[in-house]
Amino acid sequence: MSELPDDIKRALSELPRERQPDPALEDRVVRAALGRSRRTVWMGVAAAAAAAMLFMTHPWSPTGETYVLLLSPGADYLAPAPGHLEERRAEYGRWADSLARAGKLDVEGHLEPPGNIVDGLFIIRAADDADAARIAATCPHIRYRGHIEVRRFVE
Amino acid sequence: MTGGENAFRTLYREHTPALYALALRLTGSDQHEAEDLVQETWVRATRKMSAFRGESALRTWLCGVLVNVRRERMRSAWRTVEMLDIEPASPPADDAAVDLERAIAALPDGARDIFVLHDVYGYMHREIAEMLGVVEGTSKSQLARARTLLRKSLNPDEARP
Repeated sequence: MSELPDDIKRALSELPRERQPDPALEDRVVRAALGRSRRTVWMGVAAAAAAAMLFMTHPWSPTGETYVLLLSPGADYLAPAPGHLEERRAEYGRWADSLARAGKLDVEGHLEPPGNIVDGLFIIRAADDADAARIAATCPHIRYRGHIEVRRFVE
Repeated sequence: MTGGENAFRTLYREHTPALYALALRLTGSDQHEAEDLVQETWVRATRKMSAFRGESALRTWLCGVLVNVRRERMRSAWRTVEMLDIEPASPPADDAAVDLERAIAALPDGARDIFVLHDVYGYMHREIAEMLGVVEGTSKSQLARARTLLRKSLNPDEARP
């Protein structure tokens, strides 16, 4: 493997790893990333069957904290039997619907990746960390030994 | 503004400076193209967020999305990129750093991607191979090529017989 001289290595290590873009970019990105209507996103999914789905749901509760629940299978995840992925997805969907009816769900994202794996992302509203953990614990993902990472957003 | 939008903005502010710095390096400091890349990365990320499995850091995953967005755009036949004529958006203070940024910008695309990810951002060949959809051997050979070219660019005497 071709190595670099120490002075170049040192100079590389000193290069900035972060740069601030034009502040106006943030609003452009928010509009582009979140401004899609539910219909548009679903049409996109229809066009690309394996694409992820992300859509806005109920109006937002004005109180509490915002949390993101990142679902991943983890090593012990009990994947659905072949042919039962849709059933598993529906179960997660019913859980998300119950949160939405309670005004606790803001964004639901879920994916149908290759293979029988369910994972996803939910942005929820909870009173505090303990409430967020309690809500996460009700997710079917836990029953199937999946992993949920709960992150609180600090603004 | 919804809580979801607030959450998204928080994620954006946490990770965008790193994504933008990476985009600048991959585009040879083309500010406009780098902003477009960052925007498209976030659009893709929100549509694919659930594909993030928690097996790597979120930032690593986002960087992978950005690198792949760029490679897709590079494959578009209508685009032309003239990297050597573009000044760094925020030039580093000293001449040596400017020379280094220019030398990186002048590397061939494929070699530059791997060099930046490995030698600037510290990703391992395994991670780079996963990000770019190549085998580790390709990552290693392209890195060696990039280092050789960079050395010659910064030390022209080395290129003479």
